[in-house]
Amino acid sequence: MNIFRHILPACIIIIVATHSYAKKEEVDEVQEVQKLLGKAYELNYVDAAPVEISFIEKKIIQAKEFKEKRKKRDFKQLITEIKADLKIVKKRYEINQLQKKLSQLKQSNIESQRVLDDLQGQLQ
Amino acid sequence: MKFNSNLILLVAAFFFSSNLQAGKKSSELDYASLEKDYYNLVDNQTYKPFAKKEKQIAKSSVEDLINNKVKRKEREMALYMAKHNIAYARLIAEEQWLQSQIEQEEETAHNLEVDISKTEAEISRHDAELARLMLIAQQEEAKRAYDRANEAEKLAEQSQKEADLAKQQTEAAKRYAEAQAEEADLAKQEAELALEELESLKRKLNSIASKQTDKGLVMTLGDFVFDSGKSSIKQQAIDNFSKVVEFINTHPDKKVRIEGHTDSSGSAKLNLRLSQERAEAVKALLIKNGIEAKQLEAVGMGEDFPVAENTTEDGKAKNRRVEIIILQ
Repeated sequence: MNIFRHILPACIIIIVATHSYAKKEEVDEVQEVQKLLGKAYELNYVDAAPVEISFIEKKIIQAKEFKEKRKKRDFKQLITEIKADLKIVKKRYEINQLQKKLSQLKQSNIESQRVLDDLQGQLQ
Repeated sequence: MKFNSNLILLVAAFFFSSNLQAGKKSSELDYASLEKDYYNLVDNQTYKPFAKKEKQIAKSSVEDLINNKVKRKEREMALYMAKHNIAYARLIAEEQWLQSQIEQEEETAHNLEVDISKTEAEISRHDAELARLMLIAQQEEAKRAYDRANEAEKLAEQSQKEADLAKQQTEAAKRYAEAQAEEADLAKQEAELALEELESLKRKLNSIASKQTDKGLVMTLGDFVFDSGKSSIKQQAIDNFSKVVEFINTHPDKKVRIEGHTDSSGSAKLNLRLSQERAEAVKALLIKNGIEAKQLEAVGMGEDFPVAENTTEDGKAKNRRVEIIILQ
């Protein structure tokens, strides 16, 4: 009985403390991914990966639902997926930029080659 | 009860087994798809040299799943993350490939820029050389034009000189011709005058007549026979002196007195000497024409025996005379 008298309150305290900590962490992670999504919008990542952004939005909504339903494991998995998806979106955007740059360089080189051909033609 | 409990256990085992089989088949399909994705990535020749670290991570995540190193409850998440790792590795590979392409294009751009600069420099040198050659050509052309102008100027000057010379020669020739013409006219006039004079002299000589006087038969030669103021006889008179000679020859036996007379102009002494010289000149001419010298006598009478007044020119002309007298 002594055990129940001393251990049970201690367990309750620990459970409450860890629960409140976990709740705080969940709220922060949702805010974090929302913040990351907002930044993706600001940087026009949506143009590079519109489908992925759409999935991420849905996943955030679902994550909120998991949070409300206190499905911690699902919530954590979803947050991890969202972060991974955002990483992919960012990379897609960066690749798009590189592709544009490469395309511009190729076009510029074509024009430069034409200029060079014209100049060499003048020398003939 | 025992049967019932056994039956429940059997049904549960069946369900568990069937679910397990279904889950196992689903996982196998996912893993096969995952493995295929992974090998598609690593076998891609374009992306082969790139994203080695990310490919290793993807490989580990795939192998962990296939080799059942992941706990059952974490497999779903691990499968998702393995797919993510493969996709991310592909993106990294694409990114690195793009960067390498960009580097190549930038190098190409740099090379093109260098080539363009070199070619432009070459064109500039070429243009400069062309401009230099054109300048030289223009200078040479200008020099040739200058030389041609000088040559033309010299030719013009020479032509002008030649024209001037020709003009001068023409004028000289013209003057010469005019002078010649004048000279010819003059000669003609002189010839005409001489002819007239000769004719006059001939007429006068032919018209000379003799007349009988106290002194004898007298033939008078006017002063036209002599050169003016001199004692010399004119050549024309000499050439036409035959009538005088015939006149004397008609009287071969008689003495002939030749008297010279002058007008009163000048001194008496001078006139006397002139009359003597003229008488002597006639005598010499007659001798030359075959008359015997002993038949002839020349006497200067001076101005003392005029036949007309010395106050007029006509009178003076008549007084200037030589009388050839056939003495009786």
